[in-house]
Amino acid sequence: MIQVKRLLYIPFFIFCLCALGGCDPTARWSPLRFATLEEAFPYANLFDSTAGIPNDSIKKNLFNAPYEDVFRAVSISVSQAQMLLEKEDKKTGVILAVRMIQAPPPPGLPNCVLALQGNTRPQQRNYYYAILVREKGPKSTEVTAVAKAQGRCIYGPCLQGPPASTCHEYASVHWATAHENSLQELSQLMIFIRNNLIQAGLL
Amino acid sequence: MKGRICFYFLVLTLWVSTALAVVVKDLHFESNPSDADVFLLQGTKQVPLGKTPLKYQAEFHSDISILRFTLKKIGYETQTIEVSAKQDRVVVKLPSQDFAARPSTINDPTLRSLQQRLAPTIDRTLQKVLALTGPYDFELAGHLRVTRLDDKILLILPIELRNTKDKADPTDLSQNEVFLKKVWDQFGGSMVIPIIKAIRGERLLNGILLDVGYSRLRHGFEVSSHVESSIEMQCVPGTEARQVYNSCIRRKIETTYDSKGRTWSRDVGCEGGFETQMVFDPCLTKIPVTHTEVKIDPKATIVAVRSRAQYIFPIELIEAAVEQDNMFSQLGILLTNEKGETVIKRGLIPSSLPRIPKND
Repeated sequence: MIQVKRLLYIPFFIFCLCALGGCDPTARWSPLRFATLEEAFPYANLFDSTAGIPNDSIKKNLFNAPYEDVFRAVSISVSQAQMLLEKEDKKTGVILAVRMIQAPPPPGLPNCVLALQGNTRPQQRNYYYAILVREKGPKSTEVTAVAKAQGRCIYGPCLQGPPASTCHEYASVHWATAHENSLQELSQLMIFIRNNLIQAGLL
Repeated sequence: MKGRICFYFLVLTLWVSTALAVVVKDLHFESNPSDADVFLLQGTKQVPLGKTPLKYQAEFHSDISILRFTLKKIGYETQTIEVSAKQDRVVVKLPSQDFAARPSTINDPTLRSLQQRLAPTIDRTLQKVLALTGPYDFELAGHLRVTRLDDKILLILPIELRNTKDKADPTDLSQNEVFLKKVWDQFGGSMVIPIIKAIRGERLLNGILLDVGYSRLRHGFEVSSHVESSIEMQCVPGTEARQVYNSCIRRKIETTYDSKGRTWSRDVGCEGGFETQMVFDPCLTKIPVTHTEVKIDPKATIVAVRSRAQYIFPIELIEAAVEQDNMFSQLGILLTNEKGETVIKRGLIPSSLPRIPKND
């Protein structure tokens, strides 16, 4: 009987240790499900105004080539840039693509001492891209690309360090900025488009 | 609720305005000469549409858009055109291609003047016969030019076979004769003989060299192996005599005397010192051990190899009115493999035939 009672102390000790360490042994994952492209870009008039989009989440380029050729070049370039093209509409000029990677979450997320090391390891991060090809003239076409991101964050109710609420912003769909290197990705896409137009003998 | 209706109205307006911007138009393509292949260009992609005269329902992104088309016909220069949404009818003139080399590119004055005389006839004749088809898809590999080989003056007709599966493998001798005959049947009757008939009055010319180049894929599979060996020092256990410090090698006895002369001894503790002991060492000595491993490296290879079949057609065969069926046996034929080695040689072959270049 005494032995059984001693055994019951073990979970209590673990709880105490966790409480001192500042975390709950139960890991919480956010988000439970990643957004779809339509959820990431819910508005049909996304490109009507680009005001409010952070500078490093948008890239715009003008190409001196006909719309038909530029649209085709963008469509090819999306795949070359390792993005998964999910939707393209030549009439509206909109292309939606996604890229899923494993990346270490940014610093500043809750990272408890004992059981939860999740935010120090690479976790899934999705990049959502919306690209608009807009005809400006018979041989002048503008390409605008914007990027959003959503990452997985693992957290517990920490007593020390950043609060769990910092997780929610990272785990919800947000403009891809700073450490997410979206400007590099978007610039790379523009380089691919330009190379494909050069290949077609248009530039 | 009102806001939501406004939002949907806005979305609908945007969609309708975008959809309305697309201009669908019937374009009428005509070319001179007709029967040219029309392709829609989308970047590097060429979408085949049909042959002229052609009616094509084109979709322009807006009324300011342009579409690019290319028109191709064997024997004529390919033309790429831009068509705007305002156009209904497209007429394209395809300039005829020059098949004969420009005389100015030939250094020898005799050959230059001969080329000058032959060029118009060659261009005119090839224009007519190029569209003829046969088992082999082909293209002209260069301009036709007269050249001196040994003491003969020959007109070189360079042909390159494309995308053909049953090209002969020069290493397979049983196929070679069949291949050489098939190639001659396609190009001899349709190109070589019409050209030679058109230029037969030219006394300086001794014949035509039909020079057919072709590439084929050679599939290979080889397994190579090599032995990798490494030397590793391995431990050999054993025992050896070692001087070991013992903190209690012997007891220290202290003898005490008293005034009556009695003595007694007492143990005052241990005395340390070194002693010889047999000690087990799991790695007493090391010996080199050679490990060998046979590594197998299988390789599948696909190599494009270029070969060449050359036919010398002497002009006398026409003069002697040899029947077309019997001409093949009277030709000079040289088949060379990718290394330039002769596989088949028969008839009169000039010693100075140009050699085949190395593999692509």
